Amino acid sequence: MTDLDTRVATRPRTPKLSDRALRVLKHAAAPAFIGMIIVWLAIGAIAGRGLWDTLSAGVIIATFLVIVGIGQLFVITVGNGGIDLSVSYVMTLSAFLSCQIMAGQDGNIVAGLVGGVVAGVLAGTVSAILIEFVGMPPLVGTLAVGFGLQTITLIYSGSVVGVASPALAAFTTAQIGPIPIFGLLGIVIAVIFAIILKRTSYGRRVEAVGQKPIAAGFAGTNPALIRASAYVISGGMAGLAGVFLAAYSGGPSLGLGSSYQLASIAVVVLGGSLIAGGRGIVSGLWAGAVLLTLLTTLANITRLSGGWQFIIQGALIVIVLALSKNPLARK
Amino acid sequence: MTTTTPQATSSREPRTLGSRLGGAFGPWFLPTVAAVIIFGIMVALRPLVASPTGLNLVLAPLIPLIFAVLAQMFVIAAGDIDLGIGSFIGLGNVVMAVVLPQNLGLGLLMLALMVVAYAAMGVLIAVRGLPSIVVTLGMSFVWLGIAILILPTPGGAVPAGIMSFAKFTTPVIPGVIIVLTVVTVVVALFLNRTKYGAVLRGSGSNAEGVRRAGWSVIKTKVSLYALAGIFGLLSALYLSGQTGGGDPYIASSYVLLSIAGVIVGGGSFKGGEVSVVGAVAGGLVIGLLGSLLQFIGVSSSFQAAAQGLVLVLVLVLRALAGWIQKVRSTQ
Repeated sequence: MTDLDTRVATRPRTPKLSDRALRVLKHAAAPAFIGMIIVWLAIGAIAGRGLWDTLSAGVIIATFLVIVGIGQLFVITVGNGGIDLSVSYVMTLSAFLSCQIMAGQDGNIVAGLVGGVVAGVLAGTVSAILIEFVGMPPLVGTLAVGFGLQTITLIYSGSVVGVASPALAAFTTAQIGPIPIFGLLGIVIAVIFAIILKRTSYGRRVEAVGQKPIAAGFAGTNPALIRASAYVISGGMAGLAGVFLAAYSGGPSLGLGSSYQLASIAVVVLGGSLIAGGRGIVSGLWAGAVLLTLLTTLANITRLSGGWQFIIQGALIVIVLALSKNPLARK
Repeated sequence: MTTTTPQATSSREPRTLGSRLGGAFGPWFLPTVAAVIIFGIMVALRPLVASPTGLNLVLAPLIPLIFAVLAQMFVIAAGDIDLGIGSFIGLGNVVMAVVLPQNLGLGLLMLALMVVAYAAMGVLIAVRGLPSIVVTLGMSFVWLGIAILILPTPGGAVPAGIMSFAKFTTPVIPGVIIVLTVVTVVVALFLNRTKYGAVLRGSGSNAEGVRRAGWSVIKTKVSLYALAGIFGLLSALYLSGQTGGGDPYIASSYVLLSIAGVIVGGGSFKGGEVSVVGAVAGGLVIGLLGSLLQFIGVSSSFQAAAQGLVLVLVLVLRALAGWIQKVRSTQ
């Protein structure tokens, strides 16, 4: 069992340890980091703004995307066509719920965070049941849950006037010296989930199920249960992101999560994770999220029309997919 | 095989309920009955609906949806799912409302290029083995972005020719009935009675079989995506003719509705299992349900949820029927 686990754990790499630079460049996350640096420098060159300010602002805003994206990454990595199309609706509902719970009081921060995450976890659980036990395709199961949540939010949002706690709102923009705390939190969350995915038995099972569910089943894993857990994680992460985003943007709104649906999938793809499942790269996802955020900044400072921003985001995901290594590609 | 030997009947006997349930959820019978029932309720509520003018008024808004359902049906027949059809129809609408009146040649060229782009998308998905959900979702942002570049805010004026074409009717038989009948018969004859139609349907369910029979799987995918593009443009044509103006977001609800129409109409996500008559009936069910909800005064924001709920209900019932069948056959 342990023997097998370690074997799954070592990703196929070039054995030449001597050429370290080449190894770094060949890492699946490298393109995302390189792209991020290029866009970052481009903004500095065009806008003439401080490079550090650009990056720290980008990292703060990217953190929402990192949190949602990690959930999406787990769902995509368990394979079987896994995709979560409910994240934007989960975010919006959690935003309203947590702001109602917090009601502008700092004492209710924990309750608000827990409420938002629990709502997301419940939504993810329903998706998981529809997909793994009723047998719906992930697309339909999550979309159905998403539309259900949208309706709940529509009914429910009419009656609440929630305000995020001021302390939580301040937290999302606070800085220690030059370092943005919220950006740091995004990095910490990414590191934690990278460790979960690559260093724990659970994480190894997630990737193993994504690679060969039957083999993982023989190795003593229940593929359906592992896949179900990914939807629960995704729901919880989307809920958490919704709470933070509501605090950051001063309050909940009905369109709060809508731009995160495609973006959450885009960052997974940009980060070098396999869209067919079986390999999740959290570091690449983080870089991909900063890259996407900086791209929006670049589009804004060059006064690019909103249409171009859609085209760039959509084309980027398709082009990266077309160029990336893909085990399912026809020879 | 239909001539039942005594043995076959006896082995089929114990699962009559299961097979009857399965048969009832089969290709086209149930959705057609459902459409008739919903229409009957509408007539009972407002008898004028049954008059030629009433028929035109109730059914005309469903024509673009039916074309979108058929476009989705071609993609589902390929074993894929199209999340971009709504934005694609929106772009078609914008081209017809803004570019066509100013420059006929350029407008027609753009529409032709859109179909080519759809076919190219099919090539990309087939050759690289990419998940259609992510590619079409990415491309949906490209279509939307281009549409917004052409027309940032709703406006434009559709040429009078298109408007009179879309509103074509005869004094005796309502135009909508003629369009529905002709389209259904032509597409059904093509898919069910021609050799290439069978190959196209086969490519989704058994690509290897199609390949071994000497047909190019990539070509079938190109054909299906091109057909989806053409039917998307037909949907845009009727939508433009009926509304008279352009709006990039005009068909955004068609993504879920078209998938729901195909599935309610007996289609299966496994691919290949699609029914043309069923898809048209499924589209009618989904569309008429929206009109019925409007009739009884349900707010439009809940219509999407209700239509999504029907999709979930059908899938749950179908899963249940399949499960009953399985349990009975193993006993």
